[in-house]
Amino acid sequence: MLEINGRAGQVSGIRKYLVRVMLLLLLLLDIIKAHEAISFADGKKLFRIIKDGINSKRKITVDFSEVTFVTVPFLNAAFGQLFKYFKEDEINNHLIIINLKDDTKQLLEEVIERSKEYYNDPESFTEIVNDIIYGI
Amino acid sequence: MGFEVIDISMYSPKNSDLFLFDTSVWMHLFCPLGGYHEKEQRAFSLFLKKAQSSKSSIFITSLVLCEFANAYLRSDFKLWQKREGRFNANFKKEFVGSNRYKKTVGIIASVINNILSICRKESDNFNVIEINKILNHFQSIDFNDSYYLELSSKSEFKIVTADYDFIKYRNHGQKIVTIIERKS
Repeated sequence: MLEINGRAGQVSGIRKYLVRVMLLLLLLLDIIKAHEAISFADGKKLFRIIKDGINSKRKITVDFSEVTFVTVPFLNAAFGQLFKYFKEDEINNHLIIINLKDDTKQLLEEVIERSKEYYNDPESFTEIVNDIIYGI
Repeated sequence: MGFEVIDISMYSPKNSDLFLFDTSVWMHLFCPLGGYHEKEQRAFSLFLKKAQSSKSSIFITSLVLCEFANAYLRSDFKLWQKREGRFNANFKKEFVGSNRYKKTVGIIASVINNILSICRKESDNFNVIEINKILNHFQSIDFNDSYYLELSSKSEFKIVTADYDFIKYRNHGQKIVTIIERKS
């Protein structure tokens, strides 16, 4: 994990502003200690770091380099749950995800879309999915 | 083997284990369902991680993939109906072939490739399987589940499932790995 702290100084001749820009670069490989992002629990570790980062108004970059296999529970825990606690704008303003494989990117987009739907109306979503899951 | 229900949270997969994950498990692992069934997402993803670490064998058949693809697609259709407010839309006439359908099929295809990357393909062994036993199970549980019981019997698979039909129905000799509710 690499944390970057930068400072921008004087804004006007009359008042001095100290603007503290805080950037957080998270290498996923370092957090989960594996090339496979499988468990919900591992996703939850990443989620806690991101949640704290957003609460602290940090800009967070999650780097998926060298992660070759990803499950939906991992993505739900790490990213989907953010929609339970934050507005979409807040998430978009603070979080960047980089170096995903194309198929992981596609799956993550679906996870985000469906998480928004779920947290927007859990009861209706559950009713729809119950029909499918219990019909298998 | 005798009928046995194994608590997924207590079981440590071994290198010699042969598992058949049924469709309910793959749905919790690879179909995005938001915060739905978080307990199942936790349990099955942890179990998959342990099975991968211990290099257990996870088998999959075309029937399981077929059920998974169809269930994923149906969930997408139902959510699309709600999103679009088209509750009377016909699956084949109005959804199949749409842009949304094509996108979802593309996602399912890449998910299937991911699943296959960690599984061993298993034939359905229809030529040696005892159809009468399947039809007997079919009196109590659905046909595909009946088939999985017989296939697992021939191949000594432990069935990993979220489907409680495998527990309620006990007239078989398979080991069932699943979530067991504990009363606190």
